[in-house]
Amino acid sequence: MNATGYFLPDDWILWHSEGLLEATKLSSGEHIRIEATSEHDPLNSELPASVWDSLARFEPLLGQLREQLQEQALQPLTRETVLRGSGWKQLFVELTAKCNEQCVHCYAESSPARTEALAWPELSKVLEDAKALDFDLVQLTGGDPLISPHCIQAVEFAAEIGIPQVEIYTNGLALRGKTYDRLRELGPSFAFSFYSHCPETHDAITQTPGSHARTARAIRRAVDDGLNVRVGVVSMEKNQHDASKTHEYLLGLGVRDASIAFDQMRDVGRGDAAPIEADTRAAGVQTAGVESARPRNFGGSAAVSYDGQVYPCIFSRHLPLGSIHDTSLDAILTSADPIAPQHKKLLQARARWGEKLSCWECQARSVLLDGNCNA
Amino acid sequence: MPDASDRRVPRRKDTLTHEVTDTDEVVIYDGSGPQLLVLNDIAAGVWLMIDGARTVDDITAEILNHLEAERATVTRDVLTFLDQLEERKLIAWQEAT
Repeated sequence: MNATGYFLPDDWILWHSEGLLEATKLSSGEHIRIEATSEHDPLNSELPASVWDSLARFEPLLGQLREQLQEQALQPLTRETVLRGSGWKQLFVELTAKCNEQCVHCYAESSPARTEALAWPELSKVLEDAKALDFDLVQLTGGDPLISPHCIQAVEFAAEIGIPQVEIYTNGLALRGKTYDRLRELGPSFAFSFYSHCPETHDAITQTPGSHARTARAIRRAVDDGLNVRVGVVSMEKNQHDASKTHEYLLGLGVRDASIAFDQMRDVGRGDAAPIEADTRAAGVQTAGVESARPRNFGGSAAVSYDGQVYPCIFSRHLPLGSIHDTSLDAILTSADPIAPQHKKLLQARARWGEKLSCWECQARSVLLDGNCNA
Repeated sequence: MPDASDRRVPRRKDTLTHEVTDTDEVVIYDGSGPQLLVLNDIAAGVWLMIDGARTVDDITAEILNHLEAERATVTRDVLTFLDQLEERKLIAWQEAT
């Protein structure tokens, strides 16, 4: 029997066929199966209140579903609804593959030798599409976005067309001189990559002598100038033992506790060549928990890579959605292709989400879009 | 030719609970799934007669007492419904004592 999929904010996935409704709340993994005649189908707006009351008494989850059905319209489950989820939140735009560091774990495999980059016409179109889709945040990343000749132009253009928030994810090495002066005027947020309080450890990870001092200096200056700063520390075997001292060091630079986040290295890009040891992954890393504590409700994200390829997330490179060289970002993200029923796979994957590093939203999208949980 | 008698006794799975709504539907809850089954009034009537003592014949006879319908039709419908419940592992069969 063919089922039709629906998405219901914040994070409900429903599969409906004649006489059967399967409802999954993605964030909690709760799932309920309801069999009924069409007369008593929960998606039938005429379902007697007494039946709803009874359903909700047995399963409080269905009380929540009832409220959602009363407040929100069901959205057919398409590639667009799976990608957008509860609303477009964050678009990652990799301005360039080039980087002035060569981090051992880099998911994008960036380095000084790389040359791929987005040209201004396609970058400006991406930003226009981001505005049209109503993304909350555009993160300019790379490589190091400050190396791109279009970085400042992109921040200016984003402000001009009304993108609410722009963040530059950088190592800060090129955040100086006129570049810094202009960006300080424009006032984007900054996210800095940082690895250790210890210069030797930091420089060993970036494979760039002197990078620790330069990044620390850039962080300090941005904080002192009142810019919106957060710092992301990717934990791996080389640096996880000194996470507490790194945390203290960053506080000493003036970074707010809530703006320091530790995350585990992902097995993407060069990170894949250095597999994460199970005991390394399980080891406790002190974290201020900016990312982990952030409430999640299946918010939509997408990533445009330096080669024009679009993915659901920077880490979901196994799920190419299309290229902006062939069609617009808008068209790629708003595809009405229906999603085939995947509730069994979704539930199987959901039971193991905690074993993976990637966020549950990426894992859910992976199952829904290609039937596998490769995120 | 008289209908063959059916002395099997349907018994509800122990872990099930149910509730009768104000509008006479029965909502069956199986916490092991979890799954819920909403029955309309006819099916609800059959479900409520499954008490571990009544046979299929008893249930059919009770329905015939309340409905003007062909015995063969009612017997077929009752058996179809009970088979569906068995497929969903909501009941098991036992022989009448």
